[in-house]
Amino acid sequence: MSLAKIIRSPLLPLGMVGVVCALTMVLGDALSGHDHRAIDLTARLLPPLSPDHLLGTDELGRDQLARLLTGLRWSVGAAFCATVIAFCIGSAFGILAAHKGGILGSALRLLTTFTQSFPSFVMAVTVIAILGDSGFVALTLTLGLVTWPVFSRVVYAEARSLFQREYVQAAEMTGMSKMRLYLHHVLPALIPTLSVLVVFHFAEMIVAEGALSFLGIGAPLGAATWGAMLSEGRGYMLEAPWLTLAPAFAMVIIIVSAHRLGQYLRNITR
Amino acid sequence: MTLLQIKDVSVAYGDGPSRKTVLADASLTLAAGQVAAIVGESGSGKSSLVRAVAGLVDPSAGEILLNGQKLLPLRKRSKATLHAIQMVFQDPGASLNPRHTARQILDEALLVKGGRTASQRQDRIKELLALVHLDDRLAELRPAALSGGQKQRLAIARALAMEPQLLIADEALSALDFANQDKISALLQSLTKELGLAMLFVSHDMRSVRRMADQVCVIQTGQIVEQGPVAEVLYHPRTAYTQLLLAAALNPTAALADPRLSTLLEDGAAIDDGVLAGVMDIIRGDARMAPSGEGVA
Repeated sequence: MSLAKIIRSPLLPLGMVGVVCALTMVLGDALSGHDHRAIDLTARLLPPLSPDHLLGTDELGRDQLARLLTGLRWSVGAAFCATVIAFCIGSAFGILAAHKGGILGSALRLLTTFTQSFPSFVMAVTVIAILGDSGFVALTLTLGLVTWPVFSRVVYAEARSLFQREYVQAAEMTGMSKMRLYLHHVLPALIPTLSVLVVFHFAEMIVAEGALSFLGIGAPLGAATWGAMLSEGRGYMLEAPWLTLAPAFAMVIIIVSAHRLGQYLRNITR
Repeated sequence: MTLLQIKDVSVAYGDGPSRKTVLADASLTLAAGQVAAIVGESGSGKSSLVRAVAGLVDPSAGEILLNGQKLLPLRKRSKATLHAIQMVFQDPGASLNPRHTARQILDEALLVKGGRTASQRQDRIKELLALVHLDDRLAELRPAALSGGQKQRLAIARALAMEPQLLIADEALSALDFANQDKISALLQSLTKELGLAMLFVSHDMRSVRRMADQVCVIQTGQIVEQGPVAEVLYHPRTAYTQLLLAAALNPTAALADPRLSTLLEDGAAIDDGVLAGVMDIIRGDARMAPSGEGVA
């Protein structure tokens, strides 16, 4: 691909956001030159573009850029893992429910309906409250476990019609293993739909993680997550608006990028 | 030796009040290496009968035996039983995975069949392609890049890769142009003879039926109305329905002028719409095929 083609590609801005995300996730707060936990009470609430603090400092004098970069690692990591968990469980249940008749198929459909009948956010809050534990694993597991029906329902509907397709029936008639049938004949046909769904779900998980952290039930106390930064900056909206604007803008950029990617995938797979 | 026994099989679709029986009490016996043609109008239940044998629909009554063993629903069949019955579908494009190349399609079938190393499978792919008269260079193409006839040959090769005892051809010629219909029909005929395959052959094409079949089974609105050796059914048909089908195939012009058809056309109460539509289908089909009146005999 020529350089001109790359520059004209609609994926270029998205790719750049992706590369920036990947780099910052790897390097974290090292990019800012500060430890995101380092407190300096002599440098409280410094505005952006202050010497040595590009995005200013918070009420404890912690570097805002270092916290934002650490938050990216947390938020994107949590959203990615939650999406993978929801995708795996939802797709597996969807395909099995579509393929299996009888009690198992009915039970899986019932479980999907039952899980989806609860508002997922309220359910996530409840599960985390019951677990009584905040942390990356608990948060991602909870988000994944309460949102898998989104994948399950879509996969079920698509897979049901796929199992009636003659090439899938012909494959079944050869006696191949169910795993081979699902992985080689059913799942590849679902990729166009699933790729769009995965990207949109990822954006939703960024918001969900931010909302839970904002409420103080997502990340552990003191962790530099975007939701927690928004929550902490709330008290300084007038005197230090950059404390809320920086994480809010970061979330908007990631979510808009994910949506643009989803729309792009939907257009090219239509 | 009897290979397949279909005993009083019925097939119904739907539930409750909307449940409709499309095939009632069908019985048929097929010996190993024999070809049975299933003929009848569209919607008469031909495909339901062969799909029940293939396991794609569950019979609502009756039983089907292969080598004396009762056939279970598709997902409960043993590997050996699954391998023994293979099907060539009506639409060759829809029956091949659009994401796989011809080589991948055949390789997967051979892998599932088992007993061959990777290099032995590649050798067998070459043999299979030669068997169905497909050029080896087409092996790297996906179905979308193949013509209708090539796709159907590939579908036949995939079926043969499983080394079946019974091949089901469910209107395997219908979606092809006339030139390819003849070629695929000749291919199926030679394969059944060479490999000693038994075949259930669903078709509207009476010329292919006469050429390939050992026995014929005529289905009208879900009922088998006549069956027997091909010579008996085609040359001495007992029922008016079979006579009309054959007349239409033999000489469409004469069939249209046949007083029995005229009577049926005039007396709406005496004929089922489906029967008439089927007869007209065949008349039209064979009129395109043999405008001069050449036909079955």
